[in-house]
Amino acid sequence: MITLISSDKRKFHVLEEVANQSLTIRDVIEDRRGRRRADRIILVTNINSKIPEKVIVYWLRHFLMPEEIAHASMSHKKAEKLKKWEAKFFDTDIDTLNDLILAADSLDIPSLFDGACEKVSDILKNRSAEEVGEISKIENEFTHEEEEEEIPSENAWVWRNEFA
Amino acid sequence: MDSASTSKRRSCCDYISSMPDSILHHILSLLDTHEAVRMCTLSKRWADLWTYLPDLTFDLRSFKSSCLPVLKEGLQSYVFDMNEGKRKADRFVHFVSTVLLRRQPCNIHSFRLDCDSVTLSRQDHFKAWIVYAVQHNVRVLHVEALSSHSFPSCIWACSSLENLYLNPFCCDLYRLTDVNLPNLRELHLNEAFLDNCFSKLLFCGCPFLEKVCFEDCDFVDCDVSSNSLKHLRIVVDGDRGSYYDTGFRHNMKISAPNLTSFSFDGEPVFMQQTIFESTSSLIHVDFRYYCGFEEGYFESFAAVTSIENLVLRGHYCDVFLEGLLPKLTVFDNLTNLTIGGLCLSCHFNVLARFLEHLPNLKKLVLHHDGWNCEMDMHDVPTNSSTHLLPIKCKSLSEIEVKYFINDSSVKQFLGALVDGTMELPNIKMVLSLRPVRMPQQIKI
Repeated sequence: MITLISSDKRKFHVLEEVANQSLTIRDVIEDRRGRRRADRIILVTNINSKIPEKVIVYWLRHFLMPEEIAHASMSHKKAEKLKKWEAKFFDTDIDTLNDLILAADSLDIPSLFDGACEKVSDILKNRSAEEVGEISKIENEFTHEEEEEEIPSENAWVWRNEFA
Repeated sequence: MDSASTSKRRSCCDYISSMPDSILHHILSLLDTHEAVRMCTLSKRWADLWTYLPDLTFDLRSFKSSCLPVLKEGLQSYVFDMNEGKRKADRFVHFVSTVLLRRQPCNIHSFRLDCDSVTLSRQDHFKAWIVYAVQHNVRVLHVEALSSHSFPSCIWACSSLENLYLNPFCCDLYRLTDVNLPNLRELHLNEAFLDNCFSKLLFCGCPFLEKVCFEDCDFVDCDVSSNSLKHLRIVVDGDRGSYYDTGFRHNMKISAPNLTSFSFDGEPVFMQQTIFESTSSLIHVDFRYYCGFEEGYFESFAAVTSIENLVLRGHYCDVFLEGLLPKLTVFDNLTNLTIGGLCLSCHFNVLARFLEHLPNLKKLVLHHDGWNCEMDMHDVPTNSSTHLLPIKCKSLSEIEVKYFINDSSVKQFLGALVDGTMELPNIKMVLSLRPVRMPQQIKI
């Protein structure tokens, strides 16, 4: 059993086998193998407590069928089920997704990283820049003049392609 | 925008923009490039992001759909405006060229170009894009175009290339004298003409090639000799009726000591002869053939005794087995066998005779296709009148029978199977239904 501590000082106890899905944690565990139990506490500083909960849920779901994932022999039904579950798991607001991406990046969990990135790109897909700006609260710091003249003229080719 | 909404925006945390460039690049790479470029007007943070994108995806179809007002179902949508199509293609050419012109000169990881629906008016543009990708050390090159577009020969000297997908493959082969792709791992060619000369050049020039798929290709004395090759897949579309008369005798020689899987899906009329030479690692073989193999095929195939998993599915499986049987010695390593595409009640003895050559078979999957021969059911021997051979695989532990729910002939076969496996006490039988085959819908 290892303990993860989030930036807001909450503790999460996870089975070593489960947490091994993070390559970063696996390396840390490998480094500290043979030491005292107190050393098996890993600080995950840049993540608030909401995210480890989600990450651990994700780990557990994937831990239940590790072999099938490793070998591509996963039956069709199971793959469908997992896909559905992942779709539900990633169906959340964009801020949580961004946190998940950062967590997956720092903890090195490739499948979680790819899944979350894909979801974000799905959100951006088929949307105009204004809509994306609204959704992800991107601050448009272009000045009024820039917005009216410079940007459209500089990027005219983008728009010409779309609306000509 | 009024000041109230601006301040409201400022108060919320803009998470997505605070992410490192590499992650944003990754997210933008998952979008079509024209969508990624559109994000440049979001904010200053995003203005230049796309110029460093390592993955470029240009898809004429998605490009079109975002330009066109979506037409509701109805006759209107079938009206094809020639000029509109041409204008779109022109815009596409302009867009791709501008992106390539304005992006930073950083390396390209993947370059995907999908423009198979419209002929591009400017051939030179198409070639120039590919040359650009090659010059920027592209690793994954994936092009779908019309056969009228020909590829520049510099593709064959791109040392960074790892994954190459060309559909269709058109290149002035007679001028090709050298292939040098030292990092290529995966290759997929469509509609290529693989003769002896080109196939030799190809496999000599790609020393690390592991996965190859040839789709709808013509093989004339094709020589697949590679030490690195692990997976070979050949697909021939049955619709290529017009190619029947090309007069080529399609044949291929495979000598790949590290080949582990081979799959063939299509009509052997495009592959009358395959000679397996030094394929001692071949473990997985998947055949979805029709009929029409030449005699020598069976002899060569029967000698590949390293096979562990064999899948034989497709029409006239019985013809294939009958042809194979006289040549067969013993498949010592074979443990998993899947057979389909034949009426098992009619051809039970063929199956039993084939199984005699598989002493170590553990799992047998049978797809029963009784509807194939329902018309000659009247001369099907009944259990009582003919002698049915027993199944003699000592280590067989599981038999799975898959059948269609509306197929009544399976009962007869199951009866024969139970009789045939009397001597094998510890056997597990699994019955499962196959999804009912729907008549193919005709597209208008």
